[in-house]
Amino acid sequence: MARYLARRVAQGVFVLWAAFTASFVILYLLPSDPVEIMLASTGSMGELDPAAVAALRAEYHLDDPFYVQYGIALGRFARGDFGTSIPQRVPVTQLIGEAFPETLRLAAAAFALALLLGGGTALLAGLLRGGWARRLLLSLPPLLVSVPSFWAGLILLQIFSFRLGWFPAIGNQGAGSVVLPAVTLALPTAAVIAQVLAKSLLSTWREPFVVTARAKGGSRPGILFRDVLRHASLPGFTLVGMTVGNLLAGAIVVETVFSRLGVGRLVEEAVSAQDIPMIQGLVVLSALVFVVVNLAVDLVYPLLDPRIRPSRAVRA
Amino acid sequence: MSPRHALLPILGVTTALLTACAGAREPSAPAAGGGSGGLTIAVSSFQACLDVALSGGRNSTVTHQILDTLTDQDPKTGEIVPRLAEKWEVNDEFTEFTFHLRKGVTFSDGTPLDAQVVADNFTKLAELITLAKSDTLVLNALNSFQSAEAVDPSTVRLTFKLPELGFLRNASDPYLAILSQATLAKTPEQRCAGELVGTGPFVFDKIVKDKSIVLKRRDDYNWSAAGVAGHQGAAYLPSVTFEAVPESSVRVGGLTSGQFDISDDIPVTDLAQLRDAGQTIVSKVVPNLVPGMRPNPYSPLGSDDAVRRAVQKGIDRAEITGTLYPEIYQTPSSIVSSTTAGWKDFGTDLAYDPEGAKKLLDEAGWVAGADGVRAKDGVRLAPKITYIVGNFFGATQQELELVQQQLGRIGIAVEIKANTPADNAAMLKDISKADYDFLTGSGASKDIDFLAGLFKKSNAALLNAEQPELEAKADALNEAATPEARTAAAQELQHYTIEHGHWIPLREQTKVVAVSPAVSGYLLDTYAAHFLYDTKLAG
Repeated sequence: MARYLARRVAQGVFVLWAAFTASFVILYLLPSDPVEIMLASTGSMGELDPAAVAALRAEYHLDDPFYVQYGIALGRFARGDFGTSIPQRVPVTQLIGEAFPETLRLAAAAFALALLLGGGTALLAGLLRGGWARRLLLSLPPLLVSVPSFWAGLILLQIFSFRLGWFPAIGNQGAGSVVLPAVTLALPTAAVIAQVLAKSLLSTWREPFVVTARAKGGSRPGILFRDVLRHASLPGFTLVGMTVGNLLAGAIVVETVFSRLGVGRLVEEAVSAQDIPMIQGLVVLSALVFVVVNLAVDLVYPLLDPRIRPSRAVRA
Repeated sequence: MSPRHALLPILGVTTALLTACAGAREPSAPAAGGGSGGLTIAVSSFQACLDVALSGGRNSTVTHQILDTLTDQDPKTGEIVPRLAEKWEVNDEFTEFTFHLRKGVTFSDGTPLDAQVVADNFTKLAELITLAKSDTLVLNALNSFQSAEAVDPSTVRLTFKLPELGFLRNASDPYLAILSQATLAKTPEQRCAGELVGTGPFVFDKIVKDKSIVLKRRDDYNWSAAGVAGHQGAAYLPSVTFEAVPESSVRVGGLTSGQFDISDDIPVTDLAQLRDAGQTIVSKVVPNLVPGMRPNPYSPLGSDDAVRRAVQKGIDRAEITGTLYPEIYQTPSSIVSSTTAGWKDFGTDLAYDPEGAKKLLDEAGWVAGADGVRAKDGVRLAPKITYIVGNFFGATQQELELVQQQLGRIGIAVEIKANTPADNAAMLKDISKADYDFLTGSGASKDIDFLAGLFKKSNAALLNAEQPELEAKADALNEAATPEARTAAAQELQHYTIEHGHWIPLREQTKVVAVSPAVSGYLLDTYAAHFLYDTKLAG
C-alpha cells in the first residue's frame, strides 16, 4: 500500500510538472504580452510609454530568452511560488489562497446537492416499474444538462432574490449566500449523475444475480437497495473525478453571475488580462485538484468493489 | 461487506461535504447599506489597483472618496475652485505655480497637511514616473515637472520646464490627490492594495479584494470645497459599501429589490424598467476624446484623405445614438465630448452628408463596381475596422454594424474585425505591419492638452507616420504659451482632425447610474465619478 501510494504521488508530481510546462509553453508562444495589455487598459489608446513597457518587462523577466524565463519559473514552481500577478501586483499564491476556500465551499455544497438530487432522481426512477412518471423523471436530466448555468443562475436570482427576497443576490457572507449559486452549479452535475446512475441501475436490474433475487421473491425496493445499488454505484463513483472538473469550470460562470469571490473569478480575470503568473498558478491548482480527487477515488474504489483489491490477493 | 456498507462511502463523502458547508456559516450578512444608514453601491468591476496615481483605469471612483486634491472643478461651470489650496499664483509663463494651503487640514492618520508633504507628493510622483510605476495620465500631467519646494509651512511652489496651462485643472484630478507622508513611504504594491491615507471625507474600513470595499466617514472632516460641496463638516453617510457586481442584470435586479441603493453602469436597455420601478437615473457625459475610429496612417485606405473624409460624412451619428442609446446619450459634436474643457461645437461639420461623401469619392476616382462597392485601380473600398470585444470605452459591435450599413449605402463595404485586448495590444506593437484600416477607441479624460499627445506621431497608433500638417496642429497646442493661444490651437486641432477624418467620432460616452428613491443629494462629478459627500439615505 505504501509503495502504491508513493508511486501515485510521484505520478501526481509528474502531472503537475507537465501541466506547468505545457501552460508555460503555450503562454510563451502567444504574440502579445501582458505588460502591454496592462498599460493599454489603464492609459488610453496608443499612449504606451516605451520606457514603462521596458521597465515592467524587465521586472517580470519577459525580456529574457525562453529558457531563462522557464528556468526562473520552474525554480519558483518547485518552491510553490508562482510569482506576482501582473495587473494586481500581489503574489499569486496569496490571491489563490484567499479565493480557493470560497470556491471549495461552493463546490462542496454543490457536489453534495448534486449527489442528493442526482442519486435521488435515479433511485426514484429505479423504484418505479415504468409508466409516465418514470419517463418524466428520466427526461429531467437531459433537460437540466442543456440549460446554460448562466441563464439558470439569472432565473433563480430573479425569483428567489429579486422577487421573493429569500436569499442575497451577491456575496460570500452567510449560509444564505451559498444556496442559489450552489443550486445553479449543482443542476448540470446532478443531471449527469442521475443519467449515469439510472442507466447503470437499469442494466444491473437485468443481471443474473438480480434475476435470482427476484425469483426468490424479494421486494423491488429491497432488491434495489440491497443488491442493485451497490453494484450500480461503481460507474457513478468513477464519475466523481470528472464531476470535479465540471464544478471548477462551472464556477467561472456562477461566481461571475453571483458576484462571488473565488477561483472562477480569478480565472476569468487572469485570462482576459493574459496574466501569465496567475494563469500558471491556476492551471497547476486545477491539476492538483484532479490529482488529489482521482487518487482519493482510486483509494476508495477497492472498498466498493472487491474484484479490484490487489493487496488482498497477495495477503491471501 | 454487508449491503448496507456499500452506501457508506457515498454517505461519508456527502456528510463530510455537508459539514464543510456548515463550517462556512458566518454571521448573517447585513442588508443593503451595511445597516445603520450606510449606503451600498453596486459597481461593475473591482479596481485592480486602488491607487489611481499608479494605475487608474477609468472606474476608479472608490478611491476618489478618500482623497482630496489641491484644486477642484465646479461641476456646473467647470471653473477651477479652491480645495486643499485656498488660493494660488501662477507666473506669466505658466511654469511656476504657488499654492497657499488651507490651514487646519489633517490626514486621517492625524498628521497635518503642510507644504512639505505636498511638495514630497509631487517629488514622489516624479520618482514613480522615472520608475515607470505611474499611470500614463500622471506622466502626461507632470511631463515637464522640474521641482517642488516648501516656501513656508503653508506655501508650496511647483516649477515646470515648459508652460503648463492645464495644470490647475490637472491638479483637480484625483490622480494628483495629496497623500500622507507615511503613504509616500509605501511600495507601489502596498499602495495598490489600498494602504492609502488621504485627507478626504471617507477612509477605507475594509477591503475584500475582487469583491467589496467598505468606507467609513471621517467625523472630523471639515474642509469641503465651497461651491462644489453642498455643506460643511463631516459627510452625511456613516459608511459606504462598494460591491463589485459584474453582471448588469444583477445590478438592476438588486437595486429594484432593495439590496443596493445605487447601481453603476446601467445598460440603456434597462432604463425604462428602472424608471417604471421608481428609480432615478443620473447620467453624465464623460470628459474625453469620444469613442470613435482612428485611421491607420500606414494602410492604403487609412492614409487616403478622400476615403477618410467620406467616412466622416457618411456616418449618421444621430441614427447611432437614436437606435442604440435613446434618451440619455447625445450625438457627438466634436472629437472631444461636450463636458471636456476646450470643447467647441463642430456639430455641423459632423452632420450626416451621404451626397457629399459620394461626391468626394467620385472625384477621387473611387467608382462603384457591379456589386455596388467602389474600387480604384483594382483596390476595393472595403476598410477593415477593429474593435475590442466587451470594451465600452471604444466602439461596440452594434455601433460598427450600423456604421457598416450606413457606409454600405455610399459604396463602402466595411469589414468588422473583433479583437481581444491581447489582439489589440499585439496590433499596436507595430501598426505599420498590422492588418487594419481603422481602429476604435477613446482617449483619457483630461484637460484639452491631452489631445496633442494623441495626435503627435510619437503616439503608438501613429508610429512616426509623416503627417506634417497634423503634427504641426498638435505641436501648436503643445507649445501654446497663453490661454488664448491654447484655446485657439485646441479648436484648430479639433477642426482639422474632423475635417480630414483623423478621428471619426461615433458617440459620446455617458456614465449612467440608477439611484433608489431613498437616496438624495447624490451626483456625478466633473469626471463622472460618484460624489457622495452630500449624499443622504432615508430610512
